[in-house]
Amino acid sequence: MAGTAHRKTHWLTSNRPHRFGGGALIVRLLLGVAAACLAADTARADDAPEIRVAAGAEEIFIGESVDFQVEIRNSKNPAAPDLAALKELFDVVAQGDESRNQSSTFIVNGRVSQQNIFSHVYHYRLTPREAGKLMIPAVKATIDGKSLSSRSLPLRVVPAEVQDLVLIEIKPSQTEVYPTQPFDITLRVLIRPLPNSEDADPLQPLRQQLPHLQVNWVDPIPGLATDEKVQWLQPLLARDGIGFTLNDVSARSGSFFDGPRLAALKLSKGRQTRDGLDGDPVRYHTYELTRTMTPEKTGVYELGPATVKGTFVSGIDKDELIGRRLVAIAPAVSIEVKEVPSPRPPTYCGGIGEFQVSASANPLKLRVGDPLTLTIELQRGPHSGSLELVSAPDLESVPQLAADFELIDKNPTGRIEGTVKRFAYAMRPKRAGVSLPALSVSTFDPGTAMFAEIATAPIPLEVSEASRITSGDLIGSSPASSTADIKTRTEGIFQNITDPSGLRDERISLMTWGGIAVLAWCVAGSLMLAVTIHRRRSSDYAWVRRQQGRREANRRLSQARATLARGQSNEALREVRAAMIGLIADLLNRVAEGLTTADAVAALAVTSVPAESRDVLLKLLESIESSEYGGGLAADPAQAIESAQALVTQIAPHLER
Amino acid sequence: MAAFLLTVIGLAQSTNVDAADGGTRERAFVRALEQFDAAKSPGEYRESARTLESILADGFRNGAVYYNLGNAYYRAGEYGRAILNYRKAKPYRPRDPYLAANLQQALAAAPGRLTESARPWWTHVLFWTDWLSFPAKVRVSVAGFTLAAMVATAACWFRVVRLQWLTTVLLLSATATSIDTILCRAEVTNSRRAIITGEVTARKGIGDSYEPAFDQPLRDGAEFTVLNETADWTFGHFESVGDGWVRNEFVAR
Repeated sequence: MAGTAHRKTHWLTSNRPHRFGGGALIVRLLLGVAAACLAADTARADDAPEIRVAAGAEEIFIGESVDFQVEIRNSKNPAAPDLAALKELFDVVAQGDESRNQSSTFIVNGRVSQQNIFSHVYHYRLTPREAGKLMIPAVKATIDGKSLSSRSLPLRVVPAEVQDLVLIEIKPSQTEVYPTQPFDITLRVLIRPLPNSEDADPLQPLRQQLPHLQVNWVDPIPGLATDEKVQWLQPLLARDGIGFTLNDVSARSGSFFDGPRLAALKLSKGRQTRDGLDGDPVRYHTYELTRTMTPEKTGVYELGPATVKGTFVSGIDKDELIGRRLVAIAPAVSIEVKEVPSPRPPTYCGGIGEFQVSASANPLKLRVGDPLTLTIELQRGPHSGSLELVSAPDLESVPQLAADFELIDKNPTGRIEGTVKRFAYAMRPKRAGVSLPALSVSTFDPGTAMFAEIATAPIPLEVSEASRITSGDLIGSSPASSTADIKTRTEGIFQNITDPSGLRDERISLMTWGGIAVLAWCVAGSLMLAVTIHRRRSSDYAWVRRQQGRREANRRLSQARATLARGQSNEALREVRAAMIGLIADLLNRVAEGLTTADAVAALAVTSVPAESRDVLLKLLESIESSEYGGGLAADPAQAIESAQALVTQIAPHLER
Repeated sequence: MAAFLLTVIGLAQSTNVDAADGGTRERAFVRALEQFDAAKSPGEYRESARTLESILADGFRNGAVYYNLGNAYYRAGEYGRAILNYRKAKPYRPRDPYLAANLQQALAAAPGRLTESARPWWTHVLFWTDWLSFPAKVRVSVAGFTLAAMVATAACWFRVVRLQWLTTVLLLSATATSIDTILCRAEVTNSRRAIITGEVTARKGIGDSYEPAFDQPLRDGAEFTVLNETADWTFGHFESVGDGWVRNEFVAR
């Protein structure tokens, strides 16, 4: 829409003659400081919620907009404010919102304290609907269940000044159009000639401060298609820097330090004569900015208002030009995009505007049943609707054509080439002597709001009877194509894969599969390590004996039981003794042969074997020796075996450690 | 070892799509084929392509879907997207002659086709790279490493020198296949390749205000390597042309 209010207050204060020079930079800085103050005046979470408002300017021209900020403080998640009260006087456009919440932690002398500041700012752009001393009504918001209200703000909306130095107007090529029918919208600015040079460009002295245009159709308007902004404005860029600036359209400055600057557009379109305020004719210098738009949907579109602002040459004083700052406003114009009326004739093809239709056929000389291609071309005239909407004419509705021809392709897909859309129909003549009749197509003429019928010229054909083929011609005869060499056609693509059984997910997780490989090597490494350790220990004789000691003792005791069962008591007792002496020798890596009872018990004394176990062992071995050598009480072999079995269980764990 | 093999089989099976999703995809696949067969206009072919895209929406990957998607875009006249999808299908169907033929056809039809970059040197060394699909390469690599582990264990157990040599050969083969797999991964993830899908002017910077990077606009089918990207623009290297920024709306990946 119109420009922001940053610069507008400045323009208003200087609506009087003044010398060229100076800039508007200070005003920008002031607004920046004001915004910073709004944000810097922080609020804390423990304070009561409040709502504050600020406007970007106190005075603007009618047609201009003003920035409006609503700040809600001391609420963590505030709802958007209610601006219903503003909508009577203003057009309200939301410009987004931002959170300015802050959280700070302070440590003073080891004491930690935290401060939370909640502030949420909503940005709007207000465009007043009338001039005069207005009040921006209070904004309401419900915060934590409480209804809060801001203060009202004054805003002076200055009506446009009546003057004839600069005139501005918006001229559409049409005010009523139909979807896809392009139209032009032109912004025209007329500036009085310079007082000292009738033919010189009046923008030339304004090189340092270019006049600024503000229009609302630079950026896309929903429902109206246009070409790219860059494509539209690039040819208008003024190389000499003399022209108009437009909205926020910028160009590169060419200097790394300067950054982008507003682009100067050359819009000169010659001269026009208009009457001045005093009734005398004035040959104004004319500047035009035209854009072509194509409506995509029906509705009423408002283009404008548009403003031109700047310092213009209003007089001369002692060879020095006098400038006058002013704003001129062009009222908005409405463009109505209408629906094509109903009922529509059956031959209506969807074309809006001026179209030409022609038809051609190939071949013109054929036999009954031979295929024939009829091509219908629809050529779009200037300012006519899009060819995308044009559909293939329904040839079946043409009685003569339907009677004489068999339509193979009834609804062909059209092909657009430039301003022409072509439809190719395949058909076969049913009888000899027929020709293609004139084909009518209806289009809609927006000028008269009526449907117009356009027709192709009839196409004469030479259709002869098909030749009769006897069975003799068919049997044994080879088709003509079989005599020619068959070659592979390189055009086209091979068919789709139609088997859904191959529709499996072929995603591969490298992590998973890599993990499998790593796991395999971990298992293999563990196995190889185990094998290696086992082998190393297998070569240790003492270790092997120790591993096998208990097993060997148990084996001997089993053998003693078997011997006893055969009635060989003494032999059984010898085996018991051998089992116990062997166990001690194996587990302590001693030579078993020659190991006496005393040696065995003495060897156990330096181990962790309990004394009770040693005593039991001593008694067992002595009783066996007594039985063997007849020096005392004979041992009971069965009891000796059980006692020895118990001793193996008691002693072995201590010696195997 | 048996438990290990069961774990391996379990992990391999876990990549398979579950039955419910498979049924939905199968129906979408068949519907896309029907739409393709009934299509007469580019819009109808695009509809078929949209159905196929829906199959791939949640990261599902399948060479046949990419291939059919390429066909749908080709018929819709979107040669850039067709080339892109044929190339995506290639790692999954490396020996499919129809895929190769259709890709060549799309390349020939694309108005913006640029000179293709030379095959990387490593494809000559790893000469089998076009023989195996990407999933097969991964499986062969892992199978090679696993087999090498088993043979190494056996060599250690039985102290057979020949098995040690076999372990070495298996390890070298698996390592070479793994390198090939890793190098081909970029093709599968498509992390660096992109293609132009319409006529667009490449710029020397991020923004339409920058000078055009080339003397002509890029057209549908111009392939390039992505060097950098932002939310709206992609910086690419165009083989034999140079580098430039293009709007993301004209880039497909």
